[in-house]
Amino acid sequence: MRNFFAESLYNKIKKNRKIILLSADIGNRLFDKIKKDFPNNFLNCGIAEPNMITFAAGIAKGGFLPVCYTITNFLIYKSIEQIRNDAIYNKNKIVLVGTGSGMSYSHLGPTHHSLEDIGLLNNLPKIKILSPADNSDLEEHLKHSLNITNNQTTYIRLGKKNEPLINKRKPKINLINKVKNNNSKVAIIFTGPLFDCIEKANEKLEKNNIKVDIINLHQIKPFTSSMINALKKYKIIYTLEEHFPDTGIKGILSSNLSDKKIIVKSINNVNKFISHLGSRDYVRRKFGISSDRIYKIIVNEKTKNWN
Amino acid sequence: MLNDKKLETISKIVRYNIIEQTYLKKSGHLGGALSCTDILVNIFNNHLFNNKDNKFILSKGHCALAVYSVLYQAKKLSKKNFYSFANQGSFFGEHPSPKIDNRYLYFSTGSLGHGVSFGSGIAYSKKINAKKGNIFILVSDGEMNSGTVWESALLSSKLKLNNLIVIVDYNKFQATGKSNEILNIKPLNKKWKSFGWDVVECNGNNHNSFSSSLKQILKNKDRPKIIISHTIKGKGVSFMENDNNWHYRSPSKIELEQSKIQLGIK
Repeated sequence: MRNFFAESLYNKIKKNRKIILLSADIGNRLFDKIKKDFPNNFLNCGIAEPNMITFAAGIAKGGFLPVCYTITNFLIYKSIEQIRNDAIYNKNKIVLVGTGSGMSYSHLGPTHHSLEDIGLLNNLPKIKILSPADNSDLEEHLKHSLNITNNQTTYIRLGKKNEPLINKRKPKINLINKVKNNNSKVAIIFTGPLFDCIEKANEKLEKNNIKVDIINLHQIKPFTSSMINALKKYKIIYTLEEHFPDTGIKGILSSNLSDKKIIVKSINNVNKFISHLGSRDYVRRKFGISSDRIYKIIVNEKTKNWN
Repeated sequence: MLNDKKLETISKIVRYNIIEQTYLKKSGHLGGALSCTDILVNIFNNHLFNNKDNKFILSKGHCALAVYSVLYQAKKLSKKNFYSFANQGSFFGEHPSPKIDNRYLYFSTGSLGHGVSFGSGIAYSKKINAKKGNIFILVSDGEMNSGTVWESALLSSKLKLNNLIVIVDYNKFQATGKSNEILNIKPLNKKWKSFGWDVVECNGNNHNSFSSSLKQILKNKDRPKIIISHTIKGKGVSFMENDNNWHYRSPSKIELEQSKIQLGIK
């Protein structure tokens, strides 16, 4: 995803020299092409994220289109006041791109996991939160973020690399993306690059004649009325995310659907830092994310709650 | 360009209007507004009103009243707006609101340590667009506690932002006491020099001293600039000078009258 981001942004800078990519000393060699061909459109601001954000607000005021890129937890947690005051409150548009979101940096431990960023930013008014599941989402998100004209700051929550392509058709801004439609009353809603994990569980579920819909929540904020309308038919929604559920999409769905008599449950139920190091799959499992767990929960619940 | 005598007269009027507002609205931050009055009067009258390419950023947002007062005296702000200061529903608060949308107040501050970073962004955009003009940023000495100021000092130096002029209102106090007792920022001059900035020091309550320092530093063409302006908190009224209680308190009717006499306002 990050390689695709670098390539896509290169093409966009080629067409629009107002775009300036700011990095906080991350992306070794990733942006070499931009640096070489468009040296004025790249600036390494050093490991000083809050300054990078306010500096970006300043260049936005000066007529440019800043894209701030670094590891998600440094980009968001270190700079939350700068994002709030200097970008959003003062209406200086920045495209925030967090890389290695969720548990992408599984082996680097909790200082590099971002399990709170959606909740933190969802608290802020007027920001747009986009969470691509694959490169086709990302392309649409990047295009949209750069084109927004009302000084709206956007946040794009990137994974890391080698995420499989899941979208058969182009995702649409302000709408949910139904990846699998079984006309079910039950849906699994996920955000970010988690489809492969759900797909495995779903194969087993289908073998047992259990049909669910699978929805990619690629836009988290604003949570539009079209999104609510598309979801109101469900009786039960299971959520899956590399984020603490209370403030992540589980919490956001619960609050937006609170008057719709829909049960919203999170498959990942762990609310603590995962200090065990390991592969992304291993750390996900520790956090409550695995295809086995999805399968087991849904099979068990079907017998209890579905009818 | 207004001469020093004219600027001094304006400073007195601006000071009195500030004090009157804090009396009327029972608002705070009077001491810091009075310490930076001369700097603002100087910059606005001699470098902003007559030059559209120059820009100003108030990083010490809690002294917005001093800027309103300078704009009001120069007839760049209506009486109605100036007297709406700190009223219910007004955008002219103790910190400036982005809703003000004035050429001179377009960035809302309040949390310290943001102005230099923001101003350096504007300065950088001017440079890559090859546009004329300088960015003046007023910061407090208390702000020198903030890490972001130093992050920005590094980046601005790397980018050789010679159109960036930071002015420190060095009144030696911050919210709860003497700056150097709370977090020693000395030697300020050497610190900034070592970060790759051009540095001058001046008496920020003396127009002649400030103007000549600014003139001198503007001659340098390679680096970002900082003017360490030594000032007196509460400047202009004897019983307010160097008394940090005036960071929070507002004057009584009698104190307002005494201020008027001391400033020679008729």
